[in-house]
Amino acid sequence: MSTRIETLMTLDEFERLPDDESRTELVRGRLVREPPTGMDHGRLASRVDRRIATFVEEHGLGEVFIAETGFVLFEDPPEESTRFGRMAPDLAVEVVSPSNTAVEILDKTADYLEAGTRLVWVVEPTRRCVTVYRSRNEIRLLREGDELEGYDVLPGFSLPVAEIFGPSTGAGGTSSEVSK
Amino acid sequence: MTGVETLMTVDEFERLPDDEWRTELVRGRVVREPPATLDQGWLASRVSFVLTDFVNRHGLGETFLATGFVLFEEPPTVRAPHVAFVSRSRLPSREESVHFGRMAPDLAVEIVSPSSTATEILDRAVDYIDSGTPLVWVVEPSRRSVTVYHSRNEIRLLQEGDALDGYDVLPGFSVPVAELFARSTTG
Repeated sequence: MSTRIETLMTLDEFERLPDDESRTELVRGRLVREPPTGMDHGRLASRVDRRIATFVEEHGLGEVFIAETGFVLFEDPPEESTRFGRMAPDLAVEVVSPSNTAVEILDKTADYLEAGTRLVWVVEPTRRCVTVYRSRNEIRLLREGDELEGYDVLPGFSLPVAEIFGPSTGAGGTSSEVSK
Repeated sequence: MTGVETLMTVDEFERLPDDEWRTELVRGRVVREPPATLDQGWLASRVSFVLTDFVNRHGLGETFLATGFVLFEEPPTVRAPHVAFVSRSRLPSREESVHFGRMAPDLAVEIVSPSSTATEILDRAVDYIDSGTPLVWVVEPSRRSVTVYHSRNEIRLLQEGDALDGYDVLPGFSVPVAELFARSTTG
């Protein structure tokens, strides 16, 4: 289980927090901090980011945000601000670290889907597979040999799962993401 | 999960003495888990009750609690789902029943604990699917949801408001997810 520090705060207070090296999220009013990512983990996230960014740029589809970009998924009451995206990303990518609990990852995924994110990739480096969520009823488990597709979010995007993980050396580390 | 690891074969593993821990053999590694939390144990018992009731009424087969199933001889992998179902036609003989099931169950149910890692839970689900288990339920008490794996391409995330169906494994089985998590007493 990850060691995390929790504090209760509003979205407004959260937005005024100073930057630091850890990934910080506000989950149902709770401030949740995760340590910076490990090397294998960071390398993998960067590889996925590069592939998505190249595709998005070539096809003029939008913009890609990495790791520490905040997205406001649920807000109550709505507040004015410009620091975080007031929207769900169209695609959210989570890279699972050995310390992530099952509850934590499920929580994130369910939050994205409920907020309207149309595609979620949960990348699991240890077992070298990717769980693809298009909705709660359309979930697929991809392995090496399968291809990641962009569906209607990144039309025409295709990336062999094996390419994400690179040569089999084992992986580990901590949190990260890429969102479009 | 912090586990104590030792390498062994299915045979050596089967001769291990019983203890209070849930012990599994994962690719030759012995992995032990502490006893269930209250939520986990309660839900395992609840799922088992609902399942057993349905299975008995329809004479479909038998249900099992924390029972060893040899999913793969090589690499040696024995998983012990919190609850399992095996259909009548696939039930082992009385003589074979003194051992672990040399088969994949028809349904495997895992109850997630707060300390289960994401990797560990996915690993189990993949092991069951790869061994041919046609239906896997991963029950998540804190979010009150159930992830249903029918195959790698048919996975659904059920929440309160949805119904848990038996597909072709338990034809006619349907229980509202909310009912699964409903405690008969408050407190």
